[in-house]
Amino acid sequence: MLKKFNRVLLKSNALRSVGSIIYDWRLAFEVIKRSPLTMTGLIIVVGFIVLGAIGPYIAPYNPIEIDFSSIALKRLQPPSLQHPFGTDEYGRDLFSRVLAGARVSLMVSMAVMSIAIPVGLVLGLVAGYYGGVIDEIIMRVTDVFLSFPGLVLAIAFSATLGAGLFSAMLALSIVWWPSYVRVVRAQVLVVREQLFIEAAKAMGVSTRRILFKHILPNSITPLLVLVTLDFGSVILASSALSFIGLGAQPPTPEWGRLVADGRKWFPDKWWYSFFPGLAILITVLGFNILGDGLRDILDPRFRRRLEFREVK
Amino acid sequence: MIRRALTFIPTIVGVLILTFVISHVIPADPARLWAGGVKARPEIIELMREKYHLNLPIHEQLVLYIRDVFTGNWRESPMTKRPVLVDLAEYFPATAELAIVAGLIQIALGIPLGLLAALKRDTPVDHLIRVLALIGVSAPAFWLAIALQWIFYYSLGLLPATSRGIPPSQTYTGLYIFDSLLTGDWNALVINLRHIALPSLTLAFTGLGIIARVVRNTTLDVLSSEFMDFAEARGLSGAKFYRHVVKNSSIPIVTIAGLEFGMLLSGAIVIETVFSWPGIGLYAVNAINSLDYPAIMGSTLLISLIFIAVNFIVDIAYAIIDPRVRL
Repeated sequence: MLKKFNRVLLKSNALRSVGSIIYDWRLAFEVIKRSPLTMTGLIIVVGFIVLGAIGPYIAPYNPIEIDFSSIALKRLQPPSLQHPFGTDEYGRDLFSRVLAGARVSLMVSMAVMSIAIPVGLVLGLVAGYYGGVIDEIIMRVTDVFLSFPGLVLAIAFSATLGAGLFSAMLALSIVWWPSYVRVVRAQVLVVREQLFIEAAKAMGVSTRRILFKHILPNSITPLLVLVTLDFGSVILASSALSFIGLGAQPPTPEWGRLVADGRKWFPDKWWYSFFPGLAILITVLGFNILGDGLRDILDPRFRRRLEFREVK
Repeated sequence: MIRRALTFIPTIVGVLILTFVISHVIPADPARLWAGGVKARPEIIELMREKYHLNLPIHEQLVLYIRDVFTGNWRESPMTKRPVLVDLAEYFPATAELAIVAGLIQIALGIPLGLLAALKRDTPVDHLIRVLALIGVSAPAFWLAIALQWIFYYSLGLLPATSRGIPPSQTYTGLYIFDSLLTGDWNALVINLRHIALPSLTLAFTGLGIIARVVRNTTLDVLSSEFMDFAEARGLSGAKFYRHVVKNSSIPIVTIAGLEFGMLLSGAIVIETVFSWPGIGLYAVNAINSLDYPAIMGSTLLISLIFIAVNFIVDIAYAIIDPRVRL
């Protein structure tokens, strides 16, 4: 194990001179395997993604349809073998609804990230690389967005666009891009001064190619940690939106919405609010543990400590 | 300092432009939205349009909007039939009190925990604090609120679960705890402290771990820096030695405390409903559920202005702590 690790380290040290992120990821995987906490985070995250993808198909009951013939008999049942998370006031199985909720959360977080990351990336690259007036304009606008507490701005947008899952996604995307601009720009400012960029310029490589082929791959590492952490934050924020009545509307089985619905029956029917909230906690915890672990791994100071230990 | 204050003007103007865009430009028919949405009567919509100059070109609307914000005309809430600013003034002290108490709890617990983690680095204590931090940022605040109500109210019957307590005989600031202290009304003080316990603990817990982590990491950074070696070499010890640590680690801590205050304001919106805490959060959520648009935008604007003010205070704090920072 140790030998293998050292080999990867040596190999990746060679790669490192190219300044490639492959180095970080090779090493990262080797280190993740040795850190039980980070591994736990990875397992939770992978589990969440898998459940989000196949959840509705493996759910034991239909998460949305109401069986009117047996409502009186099945409503608000406590957890049992048949219904591990109990049932809601319409007799639906909460386990199935929580499973289906994984897909909703996965969908929202993916949608928000797939808008916020490209926007933040492009604006950050442009602002950092060109500087001057363009930089000034982009950063002032970014600052304005950042002078709102994120959730508050998302509430304002979401309320304007009308309650619903789609407007919540849009609202969260609008709120989320500015932090990426900051991070990418700061990284670009460092990278663009390096010799290989100058060399590329001297060779007459086009600006677009320099931006996307040379600067982008070298600026992306800190973003990866942030994105991992933010996946969790988006899930948390979207569930908060749904909890206060924006975001997902019934009968969509969204976790925050389920907690809000269950409050009506609290504390007698505690399982109704408890399990959906627990699902949020575990999922977000998974992303945070993984992100936290990745940060340690990608942090040069930590890496030095690790390499030092190996040499000893 | 005045120069520093001036740089906040563009930020405030930017914030106003953004809230203007949200309320005037994004909706297809702002007048209808402000009058209460689909159910609004046509004559009221027409009235709105007249009253708020919605027939004018957009840039003139913007100027009028900014003027209105500064002259205190924050529109009227269809829900309460009162000016939004009057409503906000009534609800604001409760949120301020909650956020301040939660912030104090975060600092009072977060800094000692962080120092403990730094001094006991890589021991079980350190790992425990790390896990605490992770759970704090991962737990949905509204769910945590319900869980705490479950434990401390329904199961143990120790603390009240909802409402704000009783106002003291005389109110000066609207902050019940502060006012009961001023008037010497001990009975009210105890009741109010008991009422604020659960909401403030819930709110504090979400950021407590982050503060502890930042304190831990900066303390470790400072302890391993060269000037600390030098201080040790000079023979400093005890309080004199730790004064260097505290001074040099306070900048990141102040930064994170300022950022956390924004999180506290966001968190308050979500958990005030759970605790029926009569603050801006409860007001805003009620507004959302009754489609009271002016109230929603008023709350947004007020919270962001407070957030900007807090950031400004943080900037001043930098200069006080660190003489190298120029205002």
